[in-house]
Parts: sequence; structure tokens; C-alpha cells
Amino acid sequence: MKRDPFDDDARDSRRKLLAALAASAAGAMVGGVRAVAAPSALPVPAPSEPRRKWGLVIDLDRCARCAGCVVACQQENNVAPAGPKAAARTRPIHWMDFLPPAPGSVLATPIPCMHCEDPPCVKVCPVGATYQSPEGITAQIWERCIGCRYCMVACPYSRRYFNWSEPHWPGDSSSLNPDVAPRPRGVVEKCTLCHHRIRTAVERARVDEEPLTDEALRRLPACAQSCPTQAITFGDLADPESEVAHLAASPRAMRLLPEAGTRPKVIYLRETK
Amino acid sequence: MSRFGRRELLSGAALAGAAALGCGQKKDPYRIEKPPVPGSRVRAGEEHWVLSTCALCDAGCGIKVRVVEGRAVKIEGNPEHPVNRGGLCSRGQAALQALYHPERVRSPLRRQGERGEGKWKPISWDEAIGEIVAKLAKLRAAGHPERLVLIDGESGTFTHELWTRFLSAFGSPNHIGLGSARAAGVKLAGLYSMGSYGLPAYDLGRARLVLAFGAEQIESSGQTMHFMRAAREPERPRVICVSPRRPGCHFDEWIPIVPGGYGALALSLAHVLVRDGLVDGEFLRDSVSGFSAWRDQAGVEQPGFEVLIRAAYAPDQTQDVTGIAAATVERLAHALAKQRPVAVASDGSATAASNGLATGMAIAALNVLLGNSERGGAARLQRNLPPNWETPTVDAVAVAGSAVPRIDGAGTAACPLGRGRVQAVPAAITQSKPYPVEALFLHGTDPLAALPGRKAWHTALQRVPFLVRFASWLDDSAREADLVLPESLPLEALDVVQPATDSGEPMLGLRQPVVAPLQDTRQAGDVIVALAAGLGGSVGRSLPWKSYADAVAKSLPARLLDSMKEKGAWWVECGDDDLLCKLGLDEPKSERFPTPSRKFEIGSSAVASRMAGFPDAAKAAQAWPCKGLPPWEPPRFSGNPQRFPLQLVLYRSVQFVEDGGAFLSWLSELPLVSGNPWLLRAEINPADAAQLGLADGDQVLVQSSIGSCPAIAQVSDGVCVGAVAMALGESGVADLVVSDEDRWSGVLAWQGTRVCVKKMS
Repeated sequence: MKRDPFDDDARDSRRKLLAALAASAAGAMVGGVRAVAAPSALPVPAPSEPRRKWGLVIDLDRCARCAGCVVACQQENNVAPAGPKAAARTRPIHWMDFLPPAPGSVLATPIPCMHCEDPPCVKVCPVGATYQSPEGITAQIWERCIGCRYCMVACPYSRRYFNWSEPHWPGDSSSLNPDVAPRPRGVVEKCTLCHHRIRTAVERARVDEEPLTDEALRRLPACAQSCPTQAITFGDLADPESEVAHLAASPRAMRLLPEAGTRPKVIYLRETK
Repeated sequence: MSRFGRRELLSGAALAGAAALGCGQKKDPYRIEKPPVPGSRVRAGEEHWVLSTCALCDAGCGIKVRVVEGRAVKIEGNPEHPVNRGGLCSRGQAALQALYHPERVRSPLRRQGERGEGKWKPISWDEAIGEIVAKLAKLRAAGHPERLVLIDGESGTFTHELWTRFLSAFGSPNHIGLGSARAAGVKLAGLYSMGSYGLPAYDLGRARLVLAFGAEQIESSGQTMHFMRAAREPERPRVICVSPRRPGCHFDEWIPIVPGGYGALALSLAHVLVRDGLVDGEFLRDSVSGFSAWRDQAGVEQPGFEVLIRAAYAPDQTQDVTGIAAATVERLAHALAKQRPVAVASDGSATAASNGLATGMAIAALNVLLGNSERGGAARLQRNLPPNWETPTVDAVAVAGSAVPRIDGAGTAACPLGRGRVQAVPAAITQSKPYPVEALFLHGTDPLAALPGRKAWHTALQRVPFLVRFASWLDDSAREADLVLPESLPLEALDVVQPATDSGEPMLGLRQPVVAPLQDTRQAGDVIVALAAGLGGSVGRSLPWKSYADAVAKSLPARLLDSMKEKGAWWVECGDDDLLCKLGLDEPKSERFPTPSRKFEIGSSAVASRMAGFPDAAKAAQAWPCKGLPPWEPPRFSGNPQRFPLQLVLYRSVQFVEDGGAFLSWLSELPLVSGNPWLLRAEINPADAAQLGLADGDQVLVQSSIGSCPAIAQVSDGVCVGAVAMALGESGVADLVVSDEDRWSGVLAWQGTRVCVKKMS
């Protein structure tokens, strides 16, 4: 249905969009500091809406190990390369990384933050810099982080990275994504599940007054978007109709280190042989 | 890049966000360090996406680039594009780092002082082009246009076609590509068996089984995206890969093979298929020549492939050559017969040996035994859509120059069946044989670093009186040049590319300038047009355009170009009937092969007729029987097996970029399972490592008879015993390779060097 541009309600919703976008973008800029400083500005679902539970499914049978997701993540989230010297000291930052082969495979396992339902990293943070968002993302407030690295010790998946130096991009910083703040030296950083992309999609759907369909969400994070084999699927695990929920129920589904009791929301599908 | 403090960084970034939303204040304290595009008028918060085509390999994936305030900030796959359907590999996304690389050459440079000294004087484009035109005009005036040589690393673009046109109008036959160093073995096999030079198109959407000879195609080549897209389907093809090194990408089964043994395996599989009656008899009768008994030109009856293959290459005879057990070959052959349609695919890594062409032909023959090519199968001929420019006008000087033999000896007795031998160029230059080279253009490749024989290349480059390098960086070859012409990167330039599709249907991809050139660079096409205009006469008339953009506009119907601008590419489904008819694409594809017999030729008549054209034809024909069986011979390896006991297996990894991938830190730093990703690795089997006393992570020196290269030992059962695997494109690896070749086709034998590995203390 076409919207009347002079309709007051429509204009009102546009104004709301701008306000919400400004708030969410500013939130993204400063790494979610708003989430704590001004929680009212965050687009929290109304109590009537079911609470979302974002998750990823990674199909190891499709994954070609092309590492497209790795570079997509670095570009989208302004992760600076470490360089050969820092890399020799195991300091490169890869929110999306490769770990040794999963059971039943000889190939590396692509691994982002597991966004655990019971994240050990959150419990150990002495300053409340890391927290679990209402939609299940394990988030980090860069400015609040004091760099004690307790969370890095606590994380059983080693999905947290410490900035040993100021970020440095070869050349100039022209290709930086304006939607994501770079992290300074001395703080821990991690995968955000591209929450700036999620927020934009949620807000756009709200303003367009259209439902946020599962189909529009599946390739939302940068890693899932770039995947040539569509091995990475994103979505709402709480929605039984979503693609991720279907895939998570597959007999091939597995979670990493289930014995750690963290209940990851990143689910792998085993290779078929 | 200046390093800035935490506070500046935070406030800057926050305000950038505000600016990006279009609500920046009047006096914006946030400043991008440099204006993104000097002199441009971008508004704060302006953002758009531009469709284009990736240039990091020849797959031709569609991309869309996010441009914020005139700066390209993200490359994503174009979801509508038939090649990649929205996906994009790490290489393609790293193109952004090339664009903003700090070491890009900013303007044309003229050498000051000695070669390699590194003293340069920036000059203007007019000066640079004037200088080249003066040299070239002198060559033409002296009646020796053939003394201009171009080594061109690019193919499948209209710029490449423009070079061809320029050289034919100028009068030089020496447009030398990198084919012999890439997939020429497979492409020539296509030419001699199927009548068309090029990689076959493997219809992976329909194939149930892919037998991949060599891992490059599924791991890192222009075909890889087709494999990755096919992997999305619930009924994806099962991929069995035969290779000395386990592919670093997804596969269903890996069969290790001794380097150079591919041809023997293909013939052995053919033996089992023929012996057990698993071949497609009807197809062989109708569409294949040389399978059953036939008469040659002299009227003598020849036995045919069927009889010859029964008598030889039984799996138990080849298992010593291939290292693959006879039972495995039997199983594989029966799997091929059972799971049709099958694509038996091969790539440059399988045929880069001294028996390269014969290997390629044996693999191609295997495809037709299963009834594949062109008939309900999974391997087909690839069709291209060339630019529709008028025929160039050529004067007497050009006719005489073009008739002179090429300096690399392609098409002469030195290389009777080949289309180019880039590895023969250094010797030809150094010895001035068959004639001296007065001017050498290097475009799209850095032969010093990327091709074997660094010493020979270095000596040769010193001998060239006038060396011009089209380069984005001051790489090894550029350092030796007299003139360095900075090329615009693909994200700044216009071009049309002809990607290989998996349907075999033609396709065109449009490369659009995503951002204005950041430096004083030009794209090669514009330089070629300017050179032609400067030379004038018949050369100028052959390239009569104002600019390369003008040349592109004249190359294709306007409707097609408009459609490309809208979608980023053009493929057959986009075309209306009129347009398809005009382009000659309206007819369904012929089931016949464009060979003399209109059939697939197991015993190639093209080989026979080429051989007949040479003085010692009888001798050659003896060595290359072409009477039915592709003449497989064991591969040659350089280096004394006592001193150099291991075979060097080279592969192109996903990071490999022909012209300087090592410059891109994202690719150099792609995560490994363990260790520093920046260091060069030599993969070695645990059995060999134990014998040499090596442990994982040891620093080693890999030595061949001509060079050595430090590396980190990676002990892995992903390499067959007796081999060391290293990634091409990393600095120093090409220096190990002894420049040997297939004596018939000139295919460079990358996989023909023996090495030893020593632990460094």
C-alpha cells in the first residue's frame, strides 16, 4: 500500500526512524555504550512481541574454507591487520577465525563468537564491560573495558581478542566502515554478530511497517552475506519457523564443547561422508 | 596513515557516524585526513552502491561496492549475478586494500641513475606517452616493429583484446601471454581434441560426480566459484580430488597421486572403462573419431583407441607411476560409470609438467568415453563474445612485422603445438635470437617474482634497451624499468570482461569505476589508445577512438551495454531475441565439435597437420604418434634424486593473486590453524619429516639445484610421501623452480623440480 506523504502518522514514524537510527548509529559508534547509558533509546521489543534469540548455523558440509567470511568481517567491523611482527606473537585479531578440524573433518573450522546462552566471559568482567543483550548477543562496551583480560581466560572458545597496539591500517583509513567504531589499544574486542546491521534491519522493518521476515535476516551479518556456498545462516532461534531453527534441529547439528555448559547459539552441521 | 590517540579516535568515529546520517553540524570538527577524492564534491553522509565485476581472478564474479562520501568501504557479491549469486571469496573482498594501498605508484616515473637503483623522477602522462611513441615510431621507421614485445598477464578482458589489436596494427607478433605458465595444458588439449582453445565448461549444476584432476580448480582458480555455488544445492555434486596435496577446501574424497602421474591415471581409468564395457558406445560411434579402427591420410588402417587402450595401462601396470592402488582405480572407474553425468575436470596444476599436453588430452578423452561432452553431459565447449570492432587497417610494415616468427618460438619447430612460451623469452632476449628486442612492455605480471628463472629474467631485463612496466606498485620488475606507468586499479577503471561460465554460454561482465582514480593513474586501455593516436597513420586509424571508454562503447550494441550498466553483467537470459540474433546466439548450441572431422578427435588431426608443417616432421611424428592414444610419457624432474630426494609440489592457495597478492595484508594474515600466517610454509609428510628429523614448526631451508628458500616446516599427512608442497605467489618460491617445459606444447613444467629440505639451526 502506498503511503500518503502528507499523512501525519507517516511523517511521525519517519521522525521516529531518524531518532532511532541516530540513537542506534551513535550506539554503534561508541560500541553500545548507549545500551547502558540510555537504555530507553534502544529499540527493545515491546512486551507483547516474543523475545528474539539470534543465532548462527554453520554448515561444515557446504563451507569451502575460502575465508571470505574472515575478510568480510574484518572489513565490516574495522578490524585492523596486525602485521608480521605482531602475528609472530599470536596477536592478529580475527573475530571470525579458523580453529583445528571439527570431529569428522580434516579441514579447519570457521569460528565466530559462540554467543553462549550462559556466557562465562560475562560473569568474570569486574567492570560490567561485557554483557548479554536482551536478544542474546554477548556484547562488549569497548570504553568500559579496562583490559584485565579475565574474559579471555574465561572464554572456552578463545573468541576474545586483546588490542595490544593502536589499530593501524596500511595506507589511510579511507576504507573504514563509518558504522563501526575502531577499538583503541588496551581493550578486549569480539564478534558483535554485526549488531549494527541487525539494528538497521529491525528499524527499517519497523518504519516500513513491514514484518521482519526470516528470509531478510538469513544473510544479514557480513560473514553470512559473503559466504559463496551459503554455509552460514543467521536468524532467530526462538522462532520455530526460522531457517536457523530448522537447521538447528538437523541430525547433523552439534555444538562446540557442550561439556562446558555454555549452550552456544552458534550451531555447526557436521560434514556428510 | 598517522597514528592517532584514543580520544581523537573515539570522537572522530562518533561524529563520523553523525555525519554519515546526514545530520553533521555546519562546522564539522571531524575531518577525514585527506579529502577522499581531491577536487570532488562529495557531501557528508552521501552513500551509494556501485555494481561492478571482480578482478582478482578470472572467474568474473559480480560485485557491489558500498561508497560512502566518495570512499569505497565494502565489497559484497552481487546477489543477481549468475556466477556468484551474492557470495564473494576473501580474495575478491581484499581488492579494497589494494585500492587504498600506501605504496601505490602515484604518477608516471622515469628512471634516474642505474637500473634497479631506485631513483625515479615523476613525469607527466604526456611526457611518458611522448617518450614511448618516439621509441615505437623509430622501430616502425626502421622496419622492425616485431622488436616490440608485450608480456601480458591479463586475458579475458577487452583491454587484452585491445592490446592484440594494437600489436597487429603496429606489426608485432609478440603478444605473449602467461598461458604456458597457467592452464595451457588443458586449454591446448581442448584445442586439439575438441577444436576450441580454452577450458571446457563443467556443468556442475547437473553433474552428480566431479573427478577433479588437480586441486587448484576447486580451491583457488577461476572455476572455484562455480564449485562453491554448486555446493549450495541440496543435490550438490560429489567431488573426488586427485592431487599430491590434500586440497585446503571442501571435498568428498582425496586420492593422493605421485606428481606428474595424472595422465597415467586417466589412461588407466580409460582402460577399465573400455575393458568392462562401461563406455557410452552410441556417443563414441556418432561423435568421436579415433576410438575404433580408422584409416589415416595414407590409407593405412590404424587400430584405434579401443584396441590400444586394452593392451596397455592396466591399473596394476600404472600403480607404480601414479602411486594409486589398482583396486582404487577400479573402484573409481566404476563410480564414474555409475554416477553420470560426470565431469572429469582438470586444471593447470595437473598439466604443468613435461608431459602436460598429453596429460590434458588423456583427461579430455576420459570425458568422452563417458559420453559427456556436448551430449547430456557435464563438460561442454565454452563460447565467448568478443568486442565487435571493425577490422583494423594494416600497412605493409605491419604485415611484414607480423609475419616474422615470434621470439618465444611458439608455432616453430621449438614448440610445434604450443600457443606461447613465456619462459623462453629471457633466453631469446639475452641471445638476441631470432632478433634483438628493442622494447619490452610488461603488463599485468611481474616476471621477476612470479616466473621461474629469476637470474635469467634479470639478465634479460638488463639487456632490453627500453623497458616499460604498467604497474600499481614498484614491484621487482618495475624497479628495473625505464618507465613505470601507474595503472588504475579495477575499482577505478572501466573494462568489459568475458568470464567463463559453467553452462558454456557467453557472458560479459562490466567493470565500472567505483571511485575516481585516487592517484594520477590511467588504465592500460587509455594508454593504448593514446599510443595509437601518437603513432598515427594506419595504427591510429585502427584504434580511432578518443578514449578506452569510447572504444568500449563502440564494441557492443548499446542495448547490451545499457543492460550491463543496470545489472553489472550481461548473460544470455538477459538478452532480447533481436539482440541474441544479432550476436549470433539465437541458435541452440551445435552438438558438433569445431574440429576437421566435426567429431571429438582422440587421435588429433590438428596435431598431425601441425606436425606435418615442420621440416623434421617425420621424426616428430615418431615421437608423437597421434595414432589414437595420447602419448603418455613419464614426467621429467630436474635435480639429482640422490641430492634432491623430494619432489616440489606447487599450488595456488586462496590468497594467490597473479599480480601482487602479497601486498594485501588481509590475505597475508588469513588465519591458520596454528602459527604465524605471514610465514611461508613447506608442507611435508610425517614419514619424510621423521627421516629428516624435522618437527612441525621447524625453520627449514628448501633447496633445489638452482636456488633456495627459507620456510617453516609443516608436518602434515595432507601431502603424499616424497613431496614437499609450497604455495605459489609467495616470495622466493618461484626461484626454486627449474624452468623446464613440455617440448611439444611449451607448457611450463611448474611441477618438475626436485628439492631437499634442511633444518636451519
